[in-house]
Formats: sequence, structure tokens, C-alpha cells
Amino acid sequence: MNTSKSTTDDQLVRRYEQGEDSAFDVLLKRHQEKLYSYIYFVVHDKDIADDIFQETFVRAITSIRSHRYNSTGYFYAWLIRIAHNLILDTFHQQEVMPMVSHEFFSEQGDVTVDLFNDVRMSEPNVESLMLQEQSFDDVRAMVARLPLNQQQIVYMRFFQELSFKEIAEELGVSINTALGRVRYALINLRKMAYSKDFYVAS
Amino acid sequence: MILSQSNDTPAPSPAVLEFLRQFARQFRPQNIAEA
Repeated sequence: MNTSKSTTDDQLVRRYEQGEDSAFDVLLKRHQEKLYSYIYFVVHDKDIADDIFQETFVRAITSIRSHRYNSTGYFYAWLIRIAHNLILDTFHQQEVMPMVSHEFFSEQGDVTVDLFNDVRMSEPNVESLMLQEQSFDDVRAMVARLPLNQQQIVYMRFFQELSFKEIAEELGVSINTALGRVRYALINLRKMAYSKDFYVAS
Repeated sequence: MILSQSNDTPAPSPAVLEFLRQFARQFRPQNIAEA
């Protein structure tokens, strides 16, 4: 197959839709790592992550081969949405993940503390390696309680190190929307960090 | 600041990847109708 890095996802989808099986291999290889990392980041369980990852691509395959994929230029965002819904389904079934409601802080004022710029999170030192590791776990646990679209964008911004422009392009949303989601996520995280009844699993 | 991930970032299991490659080759829409 004639494929280069400049071959777009939608071109590969079209080829696979038309019967070129190897085009799927390229799509899988191109997206497997970041999609799996995102799923694992949210669910924290390798077996569940494997299940959701597999089901995400099974649904993608059946949709594409059934001509139900609408080319939008945002294939990865589409995969993320499928995974996102599967994660929601999983936690609905298990009822194990309490989350901050979407509306809870949406009418709050400006963010005055950026949790991720807190020196305690950003300046590791030899003496406090264990504490830092615990802090990192705490952040992950708090992020896990955010609404999923906020988890997703926090992950892309602070763990995958994507720019807001890149995030907006991958998700198919405006930069303002991306900025807004991070803002609300940080407000929620700040509230959780200072909440007396927030419980962080050790 | 940027939070870094641990060095042992998990990856999808090879069995899952192989399953998906095979499923992608074998799936045809009529498979659903026949099921």
C-alpha cells in the first residue's frame, strides 16, 4: 500500500472502507498508543483498558465497513468519543466512579490557583520523591472524578503535552471550547484539593 | 508545567492488537445480517 505520514486518517478510512485491509493496520498503529494511554489513564486497570480499547476499534471497524463513518477530518476525535461512551457504560454498570457534575462549577468566577502550576506539583526534589509520587497519584485520583470530557482534555494538555490548537484539532472543537474545559477542570480540581471530604485512595 | 507519565506506560496487549487486525480483515457488513 502506498502510505506515508502525509496520508490522512480519512484517506485511510476510505481505503479500508473500500476493501484495502492494510489501511486499517496503519490506522491502528497510528492511534493505538495514545488511545490506549487515554483509556488507561481514566480507568486505571489494564484488563478494563484492553476491553474498552478492543471494543472501541471493533465499533470503528463495523461502522466503517458498514459505510456509517462520516468523514469529518477528526478520526481520532471520533475514536475518543466511542471510547468515552464505553467508559461511561462501564462505570454505569459498576457504579464505582463518583464524578463532579458538569454544572457544579460552571458559573464560578475566574481561576485564581492553577493546580498544575503549584510548586508542590511541579518542582520535584530528591528528599520528597515518595511524597511527590503520592501527590501525582492524588492528582490522578482527582482527575478521575472529573466529567469525562474534562478528564480527556486535562490528559491531552498536561500528560500528552498537546497545545490547545492541537487539542482543538484532534477533538474537532474550537480553541475557546478547549480552553473553557481546562478552566472548568482546574476549578473542579482546585475545589477537590481543598475539600475536606475528598477521599484519595492510597 | 507538564506532568510526566511513568516510564512503564501501558500498551494494548499484543493479543488484542492481533485480534483487531484479524477482525478488520474478516468483518463484512453481511456478517451481521447472517448472524
